[in-house]
Amino acid sequence: MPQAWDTSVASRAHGDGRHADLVRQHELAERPIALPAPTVQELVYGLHAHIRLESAFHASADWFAAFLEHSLVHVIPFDAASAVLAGRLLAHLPHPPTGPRRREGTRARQRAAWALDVQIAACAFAGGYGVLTENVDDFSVLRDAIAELLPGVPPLVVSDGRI
Amino acid sequence: MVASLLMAPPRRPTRAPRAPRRAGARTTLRVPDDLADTVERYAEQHRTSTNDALIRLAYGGAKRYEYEREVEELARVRREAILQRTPVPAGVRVPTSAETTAAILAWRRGEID
Repeated sequence: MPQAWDTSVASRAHGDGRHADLVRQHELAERPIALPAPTVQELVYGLHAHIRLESAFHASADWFAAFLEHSLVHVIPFDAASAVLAGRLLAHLPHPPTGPRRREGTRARQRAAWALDVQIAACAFAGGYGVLTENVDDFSVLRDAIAELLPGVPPLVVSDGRI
Repeated sequence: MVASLLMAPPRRPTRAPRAPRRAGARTTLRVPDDLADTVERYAEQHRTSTNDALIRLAYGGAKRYEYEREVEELARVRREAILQRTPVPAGVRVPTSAETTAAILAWRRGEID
């Protein structure tokens, strides 16, 4: 099944990042690279927030702008169906799941990151994709929540992107 | 001595590369000129016959089509399920407009967690 990259994967596709080889694999197979719109938002936010601190990050932002123009890259729109599902998911699971992993950032940041993960999952699901992620635990929770809200619908496939 | 054509070593005829044998129905088709140019270039670049080049390019197009078809079909089924309206339970009270607005804005106002 075609996979959409979440932020944990897309943010490491740069230069010698640990997922840079994935880009080359897609190029060799001429397989599209699908990015959910909220993933694009998160990457651009991170890079431009850093430009305000250090101008060197212009180069990283330029890399990502060029990456978006790559002939294989397709941004999955956050459309009506994505928005409806994201809203339902967030009402169903307002807090990130508690697990053994210690989360980064303040509680408010954790909530914001969780809301983005919810949007990424909803966008990939409504767009007809699975998710390739390093954050398998959280996306598995979202997969199960979607299955609970929409029984009988082909489930979100969560693939482990950890290497 | 003057070199003549007769003294020149015989030139090997240049043969078009042979396409790999493939099973399947034979067919005749008219290839538009602009596509034929692309096929020629591909065949030259990959040192293969124009027939093989045409098939390889068609496989590339077929792979993209199948990918798109799979994604679109899954998206269609999922979107239908997401956007399906759920029936309102019989006999429930209809909230007022003010209550509905308040419910929507409750999170922003910090009234719900």
